[in-house]
Amino acid sequence: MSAPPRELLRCDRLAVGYRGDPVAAALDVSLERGAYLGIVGPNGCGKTTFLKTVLGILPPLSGSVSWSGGRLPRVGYVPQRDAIDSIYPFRAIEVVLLALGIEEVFRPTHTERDVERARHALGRVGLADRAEVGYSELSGGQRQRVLVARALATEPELLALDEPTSGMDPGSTERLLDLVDSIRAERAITVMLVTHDLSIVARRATHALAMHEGRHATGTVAEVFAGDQLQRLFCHPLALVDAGGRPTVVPRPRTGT
Amino acid sequence: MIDFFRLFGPSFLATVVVASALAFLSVHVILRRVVFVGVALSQLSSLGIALAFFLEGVVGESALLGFTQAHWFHWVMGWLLELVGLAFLMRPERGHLSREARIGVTFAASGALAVLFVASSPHGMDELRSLMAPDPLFTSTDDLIVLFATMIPSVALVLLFFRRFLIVAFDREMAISLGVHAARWDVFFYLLLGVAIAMAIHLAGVLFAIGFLVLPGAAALCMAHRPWQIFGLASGVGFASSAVGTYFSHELDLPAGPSAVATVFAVFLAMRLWHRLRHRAGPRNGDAARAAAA
Repeated sequence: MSAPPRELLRCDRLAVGYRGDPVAAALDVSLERGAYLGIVGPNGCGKTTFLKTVLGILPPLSGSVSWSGGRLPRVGYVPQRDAIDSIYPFRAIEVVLLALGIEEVFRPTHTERDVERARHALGRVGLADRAEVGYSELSGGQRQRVLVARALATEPELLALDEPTSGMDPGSTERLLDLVDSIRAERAITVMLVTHDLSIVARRATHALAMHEGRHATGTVAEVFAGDQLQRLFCHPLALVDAGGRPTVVPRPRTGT
Repeated sequence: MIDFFRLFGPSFLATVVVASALAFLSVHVILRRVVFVGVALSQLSSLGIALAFFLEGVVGESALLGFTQAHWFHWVMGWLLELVGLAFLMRPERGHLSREARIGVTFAASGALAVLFVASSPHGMDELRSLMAPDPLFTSTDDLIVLFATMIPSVALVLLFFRRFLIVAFDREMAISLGVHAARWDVFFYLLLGVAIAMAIHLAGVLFAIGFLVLPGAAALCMAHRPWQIFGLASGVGFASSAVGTYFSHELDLPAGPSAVATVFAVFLAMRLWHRLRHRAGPRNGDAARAAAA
């Protein structure tokens, strides 16, 4: 049996946006299996719109999105936590269970195996003891971890996370990102992570797509962060420094007038 | 009471079936935050029925009269107008006409046209009253047949695809990312909802349809905290309120539809009050205690 092709995703001249209005255009992006793509840029640059477009949630305005084998791989999608309506009377475990067995249209309820998988996934994100608590009663960070658990429970080939650490304290942020790293290492899955934090991409990702005001740079992290490429993209002096062995991007004061 | 059931048994059964079915659907409608879509569909269905009344006058004594007077024709007209309205309401938002604005336009236009069609029909105000609040206790055998042939399968399909409808409504983006065609499931849901609403309006009027499409779900969400409990409780509230309201309307010589809606409103108020009192007395929903027990 031949090995699957290395390239998982290719976007050619992709334009993304809403109601016919492009937010970002001419995006040429290639992603290999097992890569960790950090999609980074300031608010409103089109990071989330790009992610939703490649996942088929939004239609592309122009250009093409092609997945290896002609179909989207099994995705574990973690939306921004505000995207979930807390009016629904679900417990944490029920939120995870909703994603299981989704391919079986006529299945009226979940199986014992689904419950086991859901509990295991909640355990992985440190919420085993909160499984029976109402989703709307969890803190913001706990809700985010429930959504990560739901994504993990689907045993994804691609983990797509949209600002998963937004509003989290630094400790929780690091724990969540460590968890993503360990899952990627265990299962050899591909990761796409949307964030506005350049340092997270510098430390965690293998590849980067940096976006700003209609411009973008893509490639390996080393390529995107090399030289003054980021500085030119973001129109602001930036420096990649070593902070106790951790790559960190810091803004530098502008010089001259 | 025995006389009541001997005289009105089948109609009474029709009323509680319609109310229970709408009550079950009301939880979906509230959770999806599409109450106003439901109200607009109700108004569109009444427009279809008004159009059917109007056509009766247009065809006069011709051979088509029997066709236009048929009970199923009124129901089908109501459903067809809902379909036309759905095509307008479900279009993706473009330009400045938001979905909310479209709902408003639909509601206002269909309400006005329904009154105008009825006013131009041969029986005028009598039909308007019949459209707004027909007495469900005078349901014909033909209506009962149509009811069981349409509403029961519609609710059965909602039950069959219960999980899928819930997933698409709860987290649409996740569903799409897992390969579910959310737009098709939405259309399917609204078609089934439309069938139930059209039937309810034909049998019991706009007021009854809207009342039981909102109040039982709102009441159940105050009291129950698990999905199946909520759907079960809402259906129970619909069943009991319509049964009690309809029976006492007969005893007190009041119109049946408004009596049933007033009863379900009273149940809603009582549950809301109970929820408030319990909320003040202890931890929210008792979930902290359940979590500790777990």
